[in-house]
Amino acid sequence: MTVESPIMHLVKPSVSAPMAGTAGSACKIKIHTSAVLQVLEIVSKQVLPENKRMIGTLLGIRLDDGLLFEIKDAFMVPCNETGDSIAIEEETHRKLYQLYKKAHLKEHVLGWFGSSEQIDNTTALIHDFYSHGTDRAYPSPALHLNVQYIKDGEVHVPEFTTYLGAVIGKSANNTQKMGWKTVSNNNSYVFTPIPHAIVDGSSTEQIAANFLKTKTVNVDSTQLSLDLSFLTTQLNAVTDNIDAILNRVESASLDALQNDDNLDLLRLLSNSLLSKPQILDDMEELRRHFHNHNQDVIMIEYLTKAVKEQIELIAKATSDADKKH
Amino acid sequence: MASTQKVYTAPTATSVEIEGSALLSVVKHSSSNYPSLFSGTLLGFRSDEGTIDITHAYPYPYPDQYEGGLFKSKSGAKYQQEIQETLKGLGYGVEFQGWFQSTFGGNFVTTQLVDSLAQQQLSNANAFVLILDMVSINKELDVKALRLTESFIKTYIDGKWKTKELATNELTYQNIFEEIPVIIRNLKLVNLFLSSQGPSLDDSYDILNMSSNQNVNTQLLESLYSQVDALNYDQSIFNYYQRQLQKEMGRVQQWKNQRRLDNLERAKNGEKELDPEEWKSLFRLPNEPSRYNSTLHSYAIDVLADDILKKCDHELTNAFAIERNLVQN
Repeated sequence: MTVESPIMHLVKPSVSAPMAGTAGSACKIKIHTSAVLQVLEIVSKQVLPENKRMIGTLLGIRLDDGLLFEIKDAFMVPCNETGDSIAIEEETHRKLYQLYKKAHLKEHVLGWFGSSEQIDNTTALIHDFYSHGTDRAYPSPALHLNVQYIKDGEVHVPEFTTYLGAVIGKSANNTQKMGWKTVSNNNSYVFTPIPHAIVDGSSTEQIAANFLKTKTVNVDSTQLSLDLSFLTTQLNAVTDNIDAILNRVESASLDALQNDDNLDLLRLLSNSLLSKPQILDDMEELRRHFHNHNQDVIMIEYLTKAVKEQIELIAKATSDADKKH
Repeated sequence: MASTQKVYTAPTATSVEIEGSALLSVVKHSSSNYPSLFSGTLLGFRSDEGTIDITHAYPYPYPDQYEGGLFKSKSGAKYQQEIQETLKGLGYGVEFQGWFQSTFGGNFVTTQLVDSLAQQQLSNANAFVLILDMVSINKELDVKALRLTESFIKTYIDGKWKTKELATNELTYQNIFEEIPVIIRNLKLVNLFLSSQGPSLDDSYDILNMSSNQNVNTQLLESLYSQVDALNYDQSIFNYYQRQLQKEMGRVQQWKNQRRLDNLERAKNGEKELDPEEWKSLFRLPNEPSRYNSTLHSYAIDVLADDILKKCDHELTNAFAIERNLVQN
């Protein structure tokens, strides 16, 4: 089992949602960096009167039969808290989700995020809101992401915890209802921590995220200038890998070679290093291919430069042509 | 074209400040949907210190057929309006500041994009467009903020697009756009989080892949062809105009000579001289076609050519490096 966050993952709770993943197998959550930043931006704007809570909706996709969640985006939903009851501005949630849905057809509401120091009754109330109804996580189980960045009144490095909430007790939904008060709220949930990993969607995103991580911290603002630092990091990583392997190979004694892991490593190395394409046997042929290829590229360069100069010439010629008259 | 009472107002913003999350979501949306092109709105506010602060980015629901296609479309405007209203309900006082547009090479120079941007800049001098170039997707990040230059807007207001106007406004295809520096500014909490994370390194070393990407080059060259074709079309119209003009000028010259001789004759006889400028009312010179499209095409070709040259240089460096290592061993 891969563990990205320091959580011991025992077993997924049996969640009473029709589309929940098969109980007993491990659940995983991937959070995209952009969503993380968005969540942080929303919770950090928490300059609120006492009776307000900062929550929001998590959006993304479910994969693997409901066992893998990918959180891709988030938006804020206003929420008022008075004593034991809460009021979530359902209309705002619905409107923003529908607007978001237009541009991201394949994404759904996955759950919600908040920023509180402990799981309390209100957490369950909000979770209940996200677990039922249209435009919410239903019929899949709802996720809860908690960001904790204030400890004992001081700001700390934000910590993320992800939970899957499961209903405890029998839902009152099945019983026959009488009268006008038919809404039944089940606010007993058990929140099971689920491991999560913060990921980047594409290589381009990764480059952008790395740029943010390495260039923009510790300074107030950085100009977006594109340099080769990403390439350098990647090259260094490769060099480090090679060094590590060399070290291992050199330090290994003959006895250690009997070790299964080492044998696997050697097999992998010899497979990837010793297999070479057929063409490498015929050096002349290869050289000729390279030569032709380079000639082609140089030809393209030459013609492109010619086009560039033609354009300049056209601009000059037309502006001069007019002066004659 | 623009109405005549519009005047050029110089933009006050000297840089664009974008929040990390907004930048990431723009990058995510455009790179994960590539090769579909997407555009969207950038929301934020203008600060007094001469910067445009971008805090939110929302892509338009539909992919673009061509760059700038949705900027002034009804559905795009409606979507933008709805988002802004909903955000206002959340207490975000954000306003429309500009667009973002994903593109491939110099293809973003379309009349639709330039028209929309020009109109926007006439009503809000600080409007801009954030161009995300997908040529080097997965290898590098290519983001730049552009707005139209003073020369261009002035010519646009004139609306005639004759060679003379281009000359008086000092507009060439090379100074259609000016670039505004993009600055990233994060909230303190975001920075705190970012600094706790090392740079993420996957097992995929995409950027180190040395194999040549013929596809990109082919695509660039195809874009170049179509731009050159479009320019050629404009150019042939212009050439036709020049030939007509030349023909007409020849006839005018003939007439002038005739008139001069006539006047000499009349002077000899002591008669009054006939007006030597009368040809202006007698001859109709052909109208010069607009140079608008050809200026834009020229710029697109210039950018595309630069992209191709850059790619070719990469390719050559790669090829020589591999060849040397292989052949020596």
